[in-house]
Amino acid sequence: MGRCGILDHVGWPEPELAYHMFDNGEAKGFAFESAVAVRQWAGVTLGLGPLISIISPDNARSIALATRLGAVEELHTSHDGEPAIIFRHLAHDDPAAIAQVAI
Amino acid sequence: MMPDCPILTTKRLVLRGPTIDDADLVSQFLTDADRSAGFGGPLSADDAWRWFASMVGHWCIHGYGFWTVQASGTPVGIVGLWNPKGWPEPELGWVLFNGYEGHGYAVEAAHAVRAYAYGTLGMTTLTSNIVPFNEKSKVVARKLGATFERIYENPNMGTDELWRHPAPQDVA
Repeated sequence: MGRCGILDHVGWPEPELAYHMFDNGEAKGFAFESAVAVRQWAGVTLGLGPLISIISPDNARSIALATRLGAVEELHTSHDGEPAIIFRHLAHDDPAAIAQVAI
Repeated sequence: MMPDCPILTTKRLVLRGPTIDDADLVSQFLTDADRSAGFGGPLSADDAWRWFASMVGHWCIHGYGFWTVQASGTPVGIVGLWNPKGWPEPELGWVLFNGYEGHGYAVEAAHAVRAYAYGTLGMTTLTSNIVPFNEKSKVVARKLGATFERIYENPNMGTDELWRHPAPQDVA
């Protein structure tokens, strides 16, 4: 259906919660459900703090998902030569994040 | 969580699996337009890091890949077995980092890798993919006893030469 995980390539400002769906994998809530699980795992198992997502300003669907996850815009910047918005996710132990895990 | 790669030793060299400390060395090679021209380069720093990641991942997928070659404890290049999607068949490949050519390291390391491929892995043949203008690499291939077989189209390199190594029974 798609891929979801933590990326930290060279040049990344910090570890990123990243997701994308394949054709036919969209609009089913899978990305949201996956991202909630990865956010929880990254916090509990890897001990990572609140994660970022690096999103193109043109990527309305990804921005909508980040917002639904409770992430907030932190910085308008450029990434790999392209405009980008850094979103900051909820900490895994934030009550709002825990509530999403339980859904 | 690096793959558990076998260590090969030769008279002068130690071949070991990649470590994160190798990433910068591999990136320096891949972003060097002159040196990496025969290896699909030059790449951006971002793509070079991703190529290094694929060098690590190749071990997980195939159980073989590129070793980092050390001489007196210093990484001097990468030599190994490469078989990504689109390759005609598994390749014996070699790269020397800047300043380490001319010592016979590529030939010595490739001999060890070929013996491992034919012995432990049970491969029955090996090829090397060489871009037509890469004369230095052809010198290495010839020293290994490989011969030109045919031209083919490589997904990364375009028109490419396929060199065939001696069969297992024909190498000492």
